[in-house]
Amino acid sequence: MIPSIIDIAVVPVVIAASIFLPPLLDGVERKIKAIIHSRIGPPILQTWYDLLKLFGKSILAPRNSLHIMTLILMYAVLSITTLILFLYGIYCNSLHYVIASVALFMMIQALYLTIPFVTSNPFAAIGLSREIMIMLINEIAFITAFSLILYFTRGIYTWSFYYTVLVIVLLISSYVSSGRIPFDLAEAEPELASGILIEFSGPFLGIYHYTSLVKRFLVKIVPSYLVLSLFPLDPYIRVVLVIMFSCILWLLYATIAPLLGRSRVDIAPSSLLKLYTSLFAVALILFILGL
Amino acid sequence: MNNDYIEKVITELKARGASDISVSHDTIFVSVESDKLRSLVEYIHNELDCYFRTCGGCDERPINGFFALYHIFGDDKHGLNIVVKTYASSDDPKFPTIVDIVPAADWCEMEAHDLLGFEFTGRRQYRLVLPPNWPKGLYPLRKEVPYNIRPKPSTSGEQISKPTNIAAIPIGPYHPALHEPEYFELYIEGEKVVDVKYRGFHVHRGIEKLGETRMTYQQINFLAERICGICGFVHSTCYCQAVEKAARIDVPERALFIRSIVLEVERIHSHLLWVGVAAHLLGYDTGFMHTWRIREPVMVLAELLTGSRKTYGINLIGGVRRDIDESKKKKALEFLDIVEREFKTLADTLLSIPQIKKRLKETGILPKEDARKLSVVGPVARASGLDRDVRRDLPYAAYKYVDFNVPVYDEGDNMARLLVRVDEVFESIKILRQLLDQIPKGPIIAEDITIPEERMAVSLTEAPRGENVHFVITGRGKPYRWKVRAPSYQNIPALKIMLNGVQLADAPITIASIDPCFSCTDRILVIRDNGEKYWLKLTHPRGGSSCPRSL
Repeated sequence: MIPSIIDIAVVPVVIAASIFLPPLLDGVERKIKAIIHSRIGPPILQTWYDLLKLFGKSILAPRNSLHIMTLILMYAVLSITTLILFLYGIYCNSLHYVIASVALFMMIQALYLTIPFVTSNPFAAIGLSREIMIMLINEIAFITAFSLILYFTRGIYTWSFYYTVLVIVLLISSYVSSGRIPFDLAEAEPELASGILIEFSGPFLGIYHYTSLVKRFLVKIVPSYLVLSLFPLDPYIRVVLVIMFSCILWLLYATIAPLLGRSRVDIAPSSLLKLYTSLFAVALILFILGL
Repeated sequence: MNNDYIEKVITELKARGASDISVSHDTIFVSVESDKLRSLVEYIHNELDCYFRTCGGCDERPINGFFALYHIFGDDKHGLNIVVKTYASSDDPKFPTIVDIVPAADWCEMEAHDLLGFEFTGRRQYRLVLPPNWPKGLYPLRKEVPYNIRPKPSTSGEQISKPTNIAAIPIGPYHPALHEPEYFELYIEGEKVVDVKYRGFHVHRGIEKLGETRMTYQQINFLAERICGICGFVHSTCYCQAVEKAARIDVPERALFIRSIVLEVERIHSHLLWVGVAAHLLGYDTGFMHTWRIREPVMVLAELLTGSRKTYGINLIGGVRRDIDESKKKKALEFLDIVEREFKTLADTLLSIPQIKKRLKETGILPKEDARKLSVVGPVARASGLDRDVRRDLPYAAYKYVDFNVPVYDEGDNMARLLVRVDEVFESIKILRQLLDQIPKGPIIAEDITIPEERMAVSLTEAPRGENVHFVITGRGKPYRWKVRAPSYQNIPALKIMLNGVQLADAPITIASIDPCFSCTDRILVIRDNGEKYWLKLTHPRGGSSCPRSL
């Protein structure tokens, strides 16, 4: 198929905007948090200012870290590639691209865990172990929900009650994956002094932080895509709407997080397990009942 | 005060070897020989059920050729202090330890050991307040040692001890969660804390020595207020009261009311600050921001009443320097209405957050029995079921003219300590309304301020963190001895029990739950000289012996 002028113009612009968006959304989130806190807050571009400042610092690798630069760069490149791939898959309406993107996302999560593991800091180690505890439950729920949707719908997305419940599971797991309160146990400043981030500074911290924001955006695209796939849309409109819907989700999560306190490593996983088990049970029952 | 009861106590004390007994205001002063000290202390602490407030050494060689050790006990039920004085000769300053009878005496004995060179028989002694390479024989609080002596600087690092199978997590001395330098070493298995090592006293300011050497009585008010940034006024009030008691100065009632008003403003400010910090430590930054927003009118109120948002500087011996007029009263009442309304909403919201409730309930428990043995004070004591409040039990300033409740909870957990402070904010607002309504007319400072020498007095005030103790022996133009015991000094040893078995995530909030003020506590330097672990055993039957060792 020969791409039209619109295809050539819009899609790269959308993809480039998506790469620019995550830190901008983080800036908006900080502004929302500030409003809830009754303060003025930083400007919306502050996260970009912070990242640019970090990139300008001297490169200092954590002591005793193994291949840290390789891992961080892999993490960054893979995340951005996955984002582009995913958006392209949404544009083409190709299930193969979507499934490949989700698989790549799992690899990104594994890299996210590996990077603090190669530093020799006890705070990073504790933060990492907490993150693993949550991810074991959360990512399994994510994959399970996504797989069940594909299995039940065979790639033809139509609304049903069980579909709604599974999308809710994806929304919850995307919130948890984003590392916001109450699930920011890996960084928990009071006892871990930034936890998994403690050994990073300068460009390392900048790249790691930026990539975490891209990952945060990526994880919202899945439920956005599944919701919008219920409607027949032109490809570029679908891509734009998925991005917009993901932005709305980001802002919604930004409003929820300041209203909660931080959970604990023994409470969060068990609470999530109970919640997901209940939701999956409900989804299965609804599917069996043909709802 | 019940004179029959005092007579009965004096009779019993005499029977146990006490002599030179005198009663002044609410304090019984006794002397006792060293060999009879322990039996006397056992009677006072166990049979009379008195709390241990503090002990302090004094170099009285210029006066009578002896060193002296003062143990201060408090009988809160009867509104009494009992000061037990023991002597030791100048060439052999040995005293028997009481730490097996009164575990709370551990730190103050070692403080006297370091700063005055006292030896305590029957216990293991260690460096608590001086660096390991401090010159031998140089005891800063002895009278021949000048205040400005400076031993040669040196570094004395400390190796973090490495147990074989238990991970050690260092928190401090610099840590994002800490607002002052202190050091906790948490030994964890998984995420559970199994042991704690504490080393504080990182900031030396030599406050007591300064007060005894180069400052006058009135100047020390301003120094005392700088013992702490948050609870400074309560320290300067406590100091003023000690000198006024010793010198029998009649402070005008209006000044007493003004002091009480400012004390309660300080309490509200401190508790609001703490609630905000607690919310932050639990990840609820919205609560932190709003609590500090609500605190802002309190700071403005303080500025309205005293001219400063903090470190008010209005106390003088004999009264105060600033008055409160009718326009200030009206504005103060308006501010109080705002604070009460907004804090009520915030407290209800805070206590409804599921994560807050789960993290605070049944964490950091301090059982009542251990709280009693350690003589903890303030909200920490009241949250563990000990009904103690100096404002009610030994009323000072204008507190005898107001009605208020003392919140007490039995759970002893972090939630109880939060609830005590939340309730105290509302009680303070109630007290303030009464004080502003009843404040009498009159002068704000005594006319005759003469301070004779060689008088003693103990003064207590209820700081936001608990009971403050200032002990003064008057001298010429300045105190001969000025001993300060801040509430955090009494509460910090309880952390070892509170932290045992908590999750690592709850360690910061547990430490914060005693509202530690390390500025108050760290009047002197402490560095451990080795990394050996010590265990503090407290769950012994009352009166039984134990082998307490320091943190």
